[in-house]
Amino acid sequence: MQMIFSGIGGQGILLATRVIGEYALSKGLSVIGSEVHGMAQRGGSVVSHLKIGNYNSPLVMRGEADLLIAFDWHEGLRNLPFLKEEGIALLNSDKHSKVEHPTIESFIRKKRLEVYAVDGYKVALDQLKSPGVLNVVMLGKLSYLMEERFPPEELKNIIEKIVSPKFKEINLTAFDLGRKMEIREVI
Amino acid sequence: MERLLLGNEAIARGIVESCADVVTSYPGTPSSEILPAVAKFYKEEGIDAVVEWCVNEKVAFEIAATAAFAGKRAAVSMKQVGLNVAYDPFMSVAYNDLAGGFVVISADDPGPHSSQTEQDSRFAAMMAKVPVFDPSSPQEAKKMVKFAFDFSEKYAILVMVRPGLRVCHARQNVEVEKIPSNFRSGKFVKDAERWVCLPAIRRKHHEKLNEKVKSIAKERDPFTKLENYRKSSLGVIASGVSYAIVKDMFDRYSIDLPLLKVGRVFPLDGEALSEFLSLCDEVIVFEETYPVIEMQLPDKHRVLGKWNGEVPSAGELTPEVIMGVLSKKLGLKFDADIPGYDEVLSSIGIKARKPILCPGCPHRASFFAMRKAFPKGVYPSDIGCYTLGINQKAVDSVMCMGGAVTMGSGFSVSLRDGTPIVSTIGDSTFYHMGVPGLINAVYNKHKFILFILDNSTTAMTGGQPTPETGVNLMKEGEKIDLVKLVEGCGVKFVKVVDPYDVSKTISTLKEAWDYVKREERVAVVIAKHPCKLIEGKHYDKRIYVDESLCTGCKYCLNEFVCPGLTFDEDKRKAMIDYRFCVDCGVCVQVCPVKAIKEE
Ligand code: SF4
Ligand code: SF4
Repeated sequence: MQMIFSGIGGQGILLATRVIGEYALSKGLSVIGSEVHGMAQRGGSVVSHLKIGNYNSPLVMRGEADLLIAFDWHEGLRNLPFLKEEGIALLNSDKHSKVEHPTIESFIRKKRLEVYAVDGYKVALDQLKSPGVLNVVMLGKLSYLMEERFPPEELKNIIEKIVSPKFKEINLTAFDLGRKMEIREVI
Repeated sequence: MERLLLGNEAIARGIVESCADVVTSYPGTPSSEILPAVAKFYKEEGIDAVVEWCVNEKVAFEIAATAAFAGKRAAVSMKQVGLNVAYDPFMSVAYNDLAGGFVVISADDPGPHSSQTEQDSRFAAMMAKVPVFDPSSPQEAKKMVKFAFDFSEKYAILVMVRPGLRVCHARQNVEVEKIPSNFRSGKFVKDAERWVCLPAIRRKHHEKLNEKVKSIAKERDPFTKLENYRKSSLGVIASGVSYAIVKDMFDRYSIDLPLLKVGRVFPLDGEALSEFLSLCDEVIVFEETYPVIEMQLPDKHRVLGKWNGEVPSAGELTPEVIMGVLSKKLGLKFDADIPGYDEVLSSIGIKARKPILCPGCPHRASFFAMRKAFPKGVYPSDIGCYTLGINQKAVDSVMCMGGAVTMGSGFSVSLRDGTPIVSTIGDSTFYHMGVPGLINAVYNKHKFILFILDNSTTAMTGGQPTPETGVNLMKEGEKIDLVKLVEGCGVKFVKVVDPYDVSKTISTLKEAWDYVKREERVAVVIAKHPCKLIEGKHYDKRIYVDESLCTGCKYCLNEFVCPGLTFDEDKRKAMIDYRFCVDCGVCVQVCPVKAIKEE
């Protein structure tokens, strides 16, 4: 399985990627992925790659990803070409909820992608007053969308282990609220 | 036990499992996470070791090298341009018959993603005539580091391991073994013929080095492997992450060309190479970033590589690039690009976001004040987060670490028309290489302002401590007083301001320039405010835009460029983006009509 996490530096993409990686490792699977550190982390576009299974290189090639999780609407649309046929995308968006461009729409249809949108900041910012937990809100929704692959209780165990104890409570709440938040298809 | 480790942590694991207990570094992407991981692993096991951040790579290199003179196992890590700073001792120590194992980790940044060049450290190793290993994954990086220590001791030679960014910042399941208790005790055996780099002795040392390289080339390399053994018109040679990508592409597209994976890039495993070349008529070489393997191949006319443009000579060899080259040669159908997709994105205003200073970053305030004080100034700057002052038009030239100070001097002797010259440099960069330039500026009476942006950390690389804090990885050190240091360099005008106070910063800078003009000497202003990532606190008061006052002029957006400020195109008013705003309140001082307010 090949995954792309995308968003803006500072949105906590590394932690989200690590949770999934640690979960796969706990199942005895091989994991390799690529992270972004350094200058690009300062508010720039950030992509992290994760491959679970028998792979050698940490990079996902365009057109090969099974799953795209984007913490930002624009970053999500920019990275749709990473998906393979019938790939799944979970995009965070606030005001946008529909793809309103014929070329992008036809690209989604032609590749038979499943593209979903959620408003993660409604939970992280409006409800929990901590924009920093957006990553875990998104993981919550992922465990709803692909429950068999990413069982919620197991992801929560990993989150408990890797976030600092100070933020444990809020992250677990964020996960549960994320799981329940509204989700819709974009076309 | 397997752990999910970052490549840099795997390298660190290799260092501690080799019992190297003098380990030094200066942070730099993509190498920064190595040293803290070394400290973490030793602390986990309660092992006392010397693990030190140093002021620069030259210093770090020399300390570790000396430990190897004294029989210890030692390692030093840095990024590729850091190796430039350590070049002098690097070239010199290559000639030494070391007493203990010594491994230099020089991390390259093909792309480049976070560097001023995408130079290839393997070339530097070749120039110094020391062996270099090029790992293709975190798992292999750990094994190579351990092997490198044994190898270094076997030949009494400095050894380089060169991970690329995609190995440093890859995360992979890595087998973790116990740390053996096989630490060497330090003992210096005096022998001037061996330890003094006297010209008369150096020629002999050089001859000995040549002998070592010759015998190494004859030794089989366990990291160099011949795969898909068969005769073929075409074969592939690859090293580093390019090898890993080639393997994935071979699997994905069922390609079964003979493949030579190179681990020891210099000197190459001569036997493996001849065998491989006897199988293939032509070979494609994938390596990052310079043609180091390619240059060592005997018959260029059989090589498809960088020299004849078959493989790109700049930028990363991504899976798309490698597959592009392979598909062309093999006549496979492959296109990673969706025609027209990027054009559509840009037509609706979606493009890659450029990096930008964090919300609440004190540098933003310093740059704003600097441009207010000298709208027509010349602004040399340096390497660090603050290079991003380019977004505020507050950075107009950057050369290398410490270059801001000496570029201030260079402009001062070249521009004689009274243009204000304000050089900006971070505190960590100032300690790294700014100090000699400042002494020189005082000595030669150069006329500019050195504006030290002191956020008390090495922020860009993840917040490593600086000498000012006295903090280090294994133990508390001594604090360095920045003001005294600047005064000690001979500077007579030194003032400290808090950049969050914009008007005070502007008036102090103007005062400094008056001093420069009057006394014809360099002046130093220190903008002191902790990095927002360290300070981390939110202020009690929320910041908001009073829509009845905002004229929609966008002055705040264009001059202050904070992720916390956005624009509501429907209302034509500025808005605070609470996803990012940390309520630092500095933009309150920026709006010309006072439309931005505290709650
Ligand atoms: S907040 Fe002030 S500076 Fe920003 S657009 Fe409105 S009036 Fe202009
Ligand atoms: S208060 Fe203003 S300057 Fe500070 S983070 Fe918020 S928007 Fe940016």
